Amino acid sequence: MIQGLALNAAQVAFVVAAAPLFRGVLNRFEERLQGRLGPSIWQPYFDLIKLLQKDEVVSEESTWIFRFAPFMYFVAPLLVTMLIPALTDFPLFWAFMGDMVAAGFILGLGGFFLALAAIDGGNPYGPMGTSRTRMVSSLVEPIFMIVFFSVSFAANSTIPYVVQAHWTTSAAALVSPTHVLIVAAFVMIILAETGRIPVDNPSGHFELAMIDEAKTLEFSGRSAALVKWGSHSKLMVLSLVLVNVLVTPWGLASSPGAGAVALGALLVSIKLLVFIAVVAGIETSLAKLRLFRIENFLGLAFVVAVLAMVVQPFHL
Amino acid sequence: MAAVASLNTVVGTLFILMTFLLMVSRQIQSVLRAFVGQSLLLVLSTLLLALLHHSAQLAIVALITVAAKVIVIPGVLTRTLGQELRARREIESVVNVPVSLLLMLGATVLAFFLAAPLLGPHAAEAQVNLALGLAALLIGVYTLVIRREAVAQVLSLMAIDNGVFFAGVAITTSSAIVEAAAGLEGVMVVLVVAILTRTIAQNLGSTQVSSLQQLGEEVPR
Repeated sequence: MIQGLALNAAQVAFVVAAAPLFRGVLNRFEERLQGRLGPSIWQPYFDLIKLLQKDEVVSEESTWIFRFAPFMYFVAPLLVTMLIPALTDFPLFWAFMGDMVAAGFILGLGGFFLALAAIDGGNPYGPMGTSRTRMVSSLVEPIFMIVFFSVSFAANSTIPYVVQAHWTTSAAALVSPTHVLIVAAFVMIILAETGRIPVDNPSGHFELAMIDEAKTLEFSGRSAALVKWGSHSKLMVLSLVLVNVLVTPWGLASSPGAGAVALGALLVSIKLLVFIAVVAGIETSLAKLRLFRIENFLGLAFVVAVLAMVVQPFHL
Repeated sequence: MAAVASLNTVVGTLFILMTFLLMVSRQIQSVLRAFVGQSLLLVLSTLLLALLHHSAQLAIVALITVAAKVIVIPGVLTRTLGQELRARREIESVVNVPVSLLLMLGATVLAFFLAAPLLGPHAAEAQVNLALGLAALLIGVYTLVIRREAVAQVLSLMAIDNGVFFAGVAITTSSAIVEAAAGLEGVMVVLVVAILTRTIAQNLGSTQVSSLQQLGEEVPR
């Protein structure tokens, strides 16, 4: 049990420590692809340190939710980390506490509190960003559900560890149409949920065009750092689900030794690096969609997810 | 062989996705690209089925498809309608994209239900081709109806053709002559329609069908 807890702690520590680096490398990759030098890959850490040292200003009109939400948003992705195979391919202590749907709910809870806090703050851009995020989320939700359905049809379970084990044991299943389509739909969901380019511009500074960032404008100091860190972790956790459970389920530590876990961390980092290259390619080649075109993008993702379910019986 | 059949299903799903893309693309150039992609996937599926059934005729069908739909038809369209193809305006359509997507998703599921009892449980690879070909046909017809742009309509006509052949190559392995005739006919149709469209474009300054609704004594110059 001690060992299980230690491994869980190692997984969470890996995500907490590496998430800003993940974002930094992604930003650097994109800048390079676009022919610019770009900030250092350590820049997100500098930002976090700077914000943690600053004073915090809280509106007098706001309630306890405004102060509580950043913690919730920071913790939610870390709770999800305990449910997914981040470094090891054998089930850890909390593995059977919840399945992919539960992970979605936990992430949703963090988003819900952040949305409440954005309205609570009284900044006029907060509610605007919130309503836009809710629009995107409500369109993403059915796609998530159908992806989970397709996964559970294929792997007979929605527990991430079991799904991962299913894809590792049958390599042929990896090239099945269902799997290809699930991966495609999941990438589109990740881009939408974490506010990446076809849906939202993460590096934009124009408040009227913001979707995800507008909610965080009112936070300062420690709260702002937690919110930023939380969104880094969220991107990393969703990417981990994609690379470790769906696309490349190999290379995770299969024994609890420290060496095996370190090797697992290295391989997982390499897989994430490849995914970063793919995301940077997508983001560089596409333009941000107009707000009312987002539903077309997500409609296409929905079609992809439903097709994954429909063609399920035809490739046995 | 199971691997080939499975790969064929992958190609089939990509084919139907390409058809969806053809339906929702907003610029003529991207409709053309989606059409070429769809044709290439049709070729790929035909080659896989040729491998599966050891049929030389299907390989010939694939060659004809490449020549007609990947090279000649896009070439003809680019030569006659180069200006219009590169136009950066949005294609008008009668129904908006999310509604179209949902309707055609329903049509795809319907196509699976219609195709299932036709072939019985033995021919799984033919079944998926028949269903997806039927779905592509329905999407093509729907796109033809909702688009208000002549070039896009020509391309959806050709997408219907692709859908029919996607279903056809799975049902019979001896369709080389039919495909040769149809491939040639497709080229002729596109040539005629492209020249007509070019005349329209020269007279009206655009290929938007919606501007053809009024009757007039003389053609506006």
